[in-house]
Amino acid sequence: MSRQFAICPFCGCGCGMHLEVFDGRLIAALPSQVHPAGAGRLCLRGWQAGTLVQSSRRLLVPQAAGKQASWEDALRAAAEGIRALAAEGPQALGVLGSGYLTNEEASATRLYATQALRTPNLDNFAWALDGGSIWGLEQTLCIPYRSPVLPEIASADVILCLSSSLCADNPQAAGYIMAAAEAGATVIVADEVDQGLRELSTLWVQHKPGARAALLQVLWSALGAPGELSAKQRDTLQQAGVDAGAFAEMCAALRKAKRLALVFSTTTVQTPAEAAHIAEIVMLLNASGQQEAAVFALRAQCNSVGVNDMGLVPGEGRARERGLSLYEMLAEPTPLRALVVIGEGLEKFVGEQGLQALRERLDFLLYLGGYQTATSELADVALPMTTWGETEGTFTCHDGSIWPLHQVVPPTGESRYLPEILRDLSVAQGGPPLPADLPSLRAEISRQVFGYRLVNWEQVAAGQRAVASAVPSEDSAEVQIPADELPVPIEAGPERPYTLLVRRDTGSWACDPRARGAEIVERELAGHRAPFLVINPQTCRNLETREGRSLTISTAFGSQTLPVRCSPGVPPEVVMLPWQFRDVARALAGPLHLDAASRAGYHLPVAAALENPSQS
Amino acid sequence: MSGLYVPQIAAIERVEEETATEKTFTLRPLNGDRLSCVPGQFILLSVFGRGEAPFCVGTAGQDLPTLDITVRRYPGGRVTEALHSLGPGAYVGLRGPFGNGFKVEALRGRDLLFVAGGIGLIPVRPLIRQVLSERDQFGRLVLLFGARQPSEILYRRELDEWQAREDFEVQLTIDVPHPDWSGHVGVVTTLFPDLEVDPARTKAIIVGPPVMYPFVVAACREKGIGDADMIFSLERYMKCGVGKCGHCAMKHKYVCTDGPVFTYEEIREIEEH
Amino acid sequence: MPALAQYSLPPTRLKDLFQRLSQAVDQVIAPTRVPPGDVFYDVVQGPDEVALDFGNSLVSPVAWLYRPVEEMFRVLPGEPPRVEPCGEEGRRLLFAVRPCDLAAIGRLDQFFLEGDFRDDLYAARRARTLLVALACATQADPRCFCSCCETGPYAEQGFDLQLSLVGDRYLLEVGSESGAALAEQCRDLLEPAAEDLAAGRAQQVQAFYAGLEQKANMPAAVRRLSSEAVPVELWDRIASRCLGCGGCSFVCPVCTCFYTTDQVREDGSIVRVRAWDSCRLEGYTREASGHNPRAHRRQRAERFSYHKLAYPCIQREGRLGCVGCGRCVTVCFGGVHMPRVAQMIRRGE
Repeated sequence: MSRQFAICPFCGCGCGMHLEVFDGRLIAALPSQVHPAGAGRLCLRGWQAGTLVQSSRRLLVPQAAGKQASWEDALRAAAEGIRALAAEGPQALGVLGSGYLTNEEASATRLYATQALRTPNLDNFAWALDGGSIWGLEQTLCIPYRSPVLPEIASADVILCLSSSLCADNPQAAGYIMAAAEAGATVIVADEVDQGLRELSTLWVQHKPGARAALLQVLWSALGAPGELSAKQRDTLQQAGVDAGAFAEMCAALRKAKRLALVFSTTTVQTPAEAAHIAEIVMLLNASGQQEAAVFALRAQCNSVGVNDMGLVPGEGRARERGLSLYEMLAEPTPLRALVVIGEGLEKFVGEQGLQALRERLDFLLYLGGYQTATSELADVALPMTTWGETEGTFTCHDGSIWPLHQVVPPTGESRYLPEILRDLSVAQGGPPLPADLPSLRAEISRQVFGYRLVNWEQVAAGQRAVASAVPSEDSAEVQIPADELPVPIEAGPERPYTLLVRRDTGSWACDPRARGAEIVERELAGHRAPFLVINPQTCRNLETREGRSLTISTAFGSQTLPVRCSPGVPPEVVMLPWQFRDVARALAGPLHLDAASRAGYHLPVAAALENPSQS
Repeated sequence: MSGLYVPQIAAIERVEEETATEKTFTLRPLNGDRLSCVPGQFILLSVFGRGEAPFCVGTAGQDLPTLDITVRRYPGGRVTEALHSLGPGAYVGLRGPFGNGFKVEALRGRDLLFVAGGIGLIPVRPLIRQVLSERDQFGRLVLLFGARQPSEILYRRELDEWQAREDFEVQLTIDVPHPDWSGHVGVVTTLFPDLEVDPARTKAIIVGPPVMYPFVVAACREKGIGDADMIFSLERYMKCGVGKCGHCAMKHKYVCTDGPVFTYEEIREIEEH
Repeated sequence: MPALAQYSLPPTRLKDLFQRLSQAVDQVIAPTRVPPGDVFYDVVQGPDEVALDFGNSLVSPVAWLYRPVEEMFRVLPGEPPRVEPCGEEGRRLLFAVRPCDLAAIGRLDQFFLEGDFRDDLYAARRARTLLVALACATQADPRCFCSCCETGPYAEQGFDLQLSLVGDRYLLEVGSESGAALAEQCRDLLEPAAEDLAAGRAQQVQAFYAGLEQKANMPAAVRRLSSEAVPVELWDRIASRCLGCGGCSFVCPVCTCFYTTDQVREDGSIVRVRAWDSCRLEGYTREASGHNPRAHRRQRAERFSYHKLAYPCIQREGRLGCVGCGRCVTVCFGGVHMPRVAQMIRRGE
């Protein structure tokens, strides 16, 4: 029996845990009480993280042309496939890396893209999820964004939370909000639907889908210029569907706050404009000298911060022209001929049908990952890599602290350490022998990544606290915030009286292949695998249907017939589609809206009609 | 070797297709062990590599060389899907029989009203068979059986035999009209209004999907049947069958060891629907 | 039950005692500090690895009797397949078990070993495990509430040996025949217990209780819950604060639920393992048909409390289903841990 400290490999909380190894097998993950993130608490995913390595969904052997292959053959096939297309110029190639990669793996990925493929088309999956809001914060605050440590939420006297979904997608933050509320804090939750936090709030501020930025803008201006709201502000609030009384109460609470925590999850606050307003509110309150305000942006992947620090970003930086971002690489028609996907399946972003279509547009798809995914099945070559628990490395948490990950069990199947695979691939392509061992990769990081120059890697490996100072962004693009922010116009009319909202919920983990191997998590997510709509119980009654029965939803983009579930948290005029059903989301809400500056993408709410097919 | 959780190896001797989704498997323990089984008991069956799940035993008696289970295949059900792909000669794991089963003694001399819905007929069938084998020990026999559609009616041939008997009143119904069906249409409780029972003499044996229970209870009560005379066989998700894994617990009772057969009086206060 | 024998031990000889006890078994499990500073009950090689300056570990030493994950048996493929047992060998000593955990072991013994079915996996491990308890009377963990569950700060029974620090001496009590045999092997380290040691320990109790922050009037909660007088809205309120992590069941030393799963190993053999499960999870009761008798979080919150606190369950399983260890206080995101829930039930609010 042995025990080793680790950081949870799921969301961006960075909870500390201990891995228990028995008989050479990873059997359990148990919380760390002394670790600052978590302090002894884990969500279900964390509690079950011990089952990930032995998941039945692991990719065990290399695959080439849909068949098992030896490492030698698979590497040769991969190198040949890429070399053939590299002749068309580096712009024809692209590399995507997961936010689950360790810093060292991410660094090796960047070296592979820049030195072996010489392509500027490089991006990471984490940015695709939280890039919009992080960009908005960074550009407004004019400094790279690091979150305070989450327990500080508990010491706030006023909390403004813009994500009612925290109970599901960030239990740590939800826990600290509940703790603050117990201690007497005022908890304001403002959101377009309620996913559980409303009941725990002191004040609930409902706004229309797509109206968050407008609400925040009026809030900012009201806080900056006390007194009566102007007619225009009142008009904007009305368009945003915000109750004037609730708004006034929110303003009053924020004015009185001594320590304000502005909390949101990047799964709900997705646009640079929304985040920019949040940053402006924080700066405004801090500038008074009487108040302290901090923003807690809760990120989607365990090494969201690290992979961006390591430079898994397009070209020379996001604001520059050169280099395609994730969504640009996946766009139709694809500008790429070959794509290298590392650490996660693409279906999470484009859906399985979307992936199929993308596959047909590409000449070559290479997948390197630890798990079987739709991407590994469609790839020309799929190479199994070692995962969390099987590799040494580091994560950088939301607050910039660097934490060690240790190898506790031998590699599963024939899987290999990613940097070694990339080195061999580079050599097989006729490229340079890239660094593939921890010391050289860490030396490379210390040399190349500004905030990591002073990191003492030995101390990190020994579990001593180390912090990477924020990595300055080389970009300096302004966030374009319209002077008069109005709710996103939704063409709701008598024909399409509902608003369709694509949002993440508890089930969004269903699209993570790692969750599929963990028995209990799989069991918990069983109801979240087939598409469904969430509607208000009243809507359900109005349409004379009941839970489990199907409704037909149509938008300007298309129409689908899907089973419904009811939730009183969804307003009567709103229909919610869980985020993980990517193909349905595209069919109903159209292509993602791509933000030109941050190059993140998100769905805008769209007008929809509902019909009970059994009535027509 | 032995152990509470260690199954014995059994071979599938015969597979019979009952409907599009149900098959009956005849299992023979490899070591020649004879099994004793009371109607209403269940076994835990392992498809090695897929897992273990409980199934009602369709045969009853002492010293049985084989036993039958009828299994519905559920899409995504790991054990049921794997089992349905197995044919004669395949090996499975077997533990049990477990559970209390029906107390046949307590039924003797009484009128019996069997109410079954869908696959609820599976645990009731061995009881009916035993009752029919000692027909003179019991009073009037009535079976009300409902299925969603004709193709889902289990044990068709046996039902026909029962219907042909003078001493057994069998009524079938399907939930919604169907072109292949000329019989009664409506959920099983729609058979109640025309039914005459002597509540003092009657014991009702009720097995079906959980949605059926509240309606049947209400219908039985209307006929004057007492709560102690309504007998249920419950199904719950379970992992062990021996009162340890906790999954089948209802308040302080375990379906696996205290049941699966309960009178309504016993579960009135504790059942969660 | 009074101790079979009592001795006195100077703290300077504690390490010697530990060494001597270690020689009697194949493996000693003791509280030890692992980086970055958490205390776990782990295999230790010597007394210097043992940490005694702790309240209680987040993971109970009960985990060494009822493992988070354990192999039940192995199937070797073939025609026909063969079934082989799994199991560890060797005698083990759990050192410095807190009295609350000892009480939990008492309930587990009742649950796994008594009744119609004896859990042979637990039984085998239990039979070759010696228990050396460490009383808490001088160091209260603020999260604990053994005062409300009558499980501490020292044990009356259930141990082979028990150590209690009283003033400048350890009181060593013998609680079983095996304990007596162990004590006999350490006889030269021990001194006769002065009469005032046990009395001195009893005097520590009030000060110890005063240091506990959690209070739960368990008898009142049990009465109220058992009389079904709890308003349903109370479970709704608990459910809205329950984030469904299952943590309370995973750290609870009394919780016994498990699921089983088949693992296909590299050599082609199939191992059935059982692992801790939680009745707080939605999938826990979902049937293959999709029907779920406890589909709502409210029902699951009620189930958890009922099993631990309701009189019919206490009667069936021998004692209250809570030992006051306070671990759920640490793990619950929403603060709806056992002492809080007991209080809510008692007040019916």
